[in-house]
Amino acid sequence: MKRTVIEVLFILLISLLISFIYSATSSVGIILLKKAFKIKAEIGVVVADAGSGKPRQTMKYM
Amino acid sequence: MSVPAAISFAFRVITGGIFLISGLAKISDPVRFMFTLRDFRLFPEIIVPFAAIYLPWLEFMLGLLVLSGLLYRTGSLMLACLNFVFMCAILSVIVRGMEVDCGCFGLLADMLKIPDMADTKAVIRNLLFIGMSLYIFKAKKTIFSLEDYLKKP
Repeated sequence: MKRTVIEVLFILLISLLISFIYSATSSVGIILLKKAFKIKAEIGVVVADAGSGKPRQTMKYM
Repeated sequence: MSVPAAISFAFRVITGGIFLISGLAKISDPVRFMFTLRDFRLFPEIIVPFAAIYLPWLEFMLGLLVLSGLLYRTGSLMLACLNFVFMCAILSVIVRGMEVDCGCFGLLADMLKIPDMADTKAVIRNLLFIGMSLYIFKAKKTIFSLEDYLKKP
C-alpha cells in the first residue's frame, strides 16, 4: 500500500515535471503557460492576406 | 505462459497503446485540448490551461508505463482512476444536455475520422478501459514486462 502511494506520487511528479519542461520549450506550450500564470498572451492563426500577401492575424482566442 | 498472464498482456497493449497515442495527439495540439476542456464547463478558468498542459503528459506517461510493463500495476490503477474521472465528466455533459467534443483522441480523431463526441459510446468505452485497467492491476502475472526483466538476476 505504502509502495503504491509512493509510486503514484512519483508518476504524478515526473509527469508534472516533463509537462512543464516541454511547455516551457515549445512555442504553443509557452502561450498556455503564460495564460495559466495570467501573463498577457494571445493565440491566433496567422495567414497571408488575399490582397497584399502580407501575414495577417485572423482569429484571437484570448 | 498462463492464460491470465496472456490476457493481462493483451489488455496492457490495448489500454497502454491507446493512451500513449491519444496522449501524443493531445500533446501535439494543447490549445485544442484547452478549448475542449473549457467547453465542458467543469473547471474554473484558471485551472483549464494547467490541465491542458498536464493531463496529456499524464496520459502519455501512464500509457508508456503500462505498455512497457514498468510500474504497470500502479500505472493501470491510475489509468482506471483517470478513466473514472473522464467518465464522470462525460456523464455530467450528457446530464446537462450539452453537445460537446469529447477530446478523447485530439488530432487523431480528425486524422482517422473517428467520431469523438461526449456521448454514451464514450461512457461505455471508458467503462471498458476501467475494466481492463483493473484486470491488469488485479492480475498476479503478466508477460513481456520490463519490471520482471529488471528483477531477474
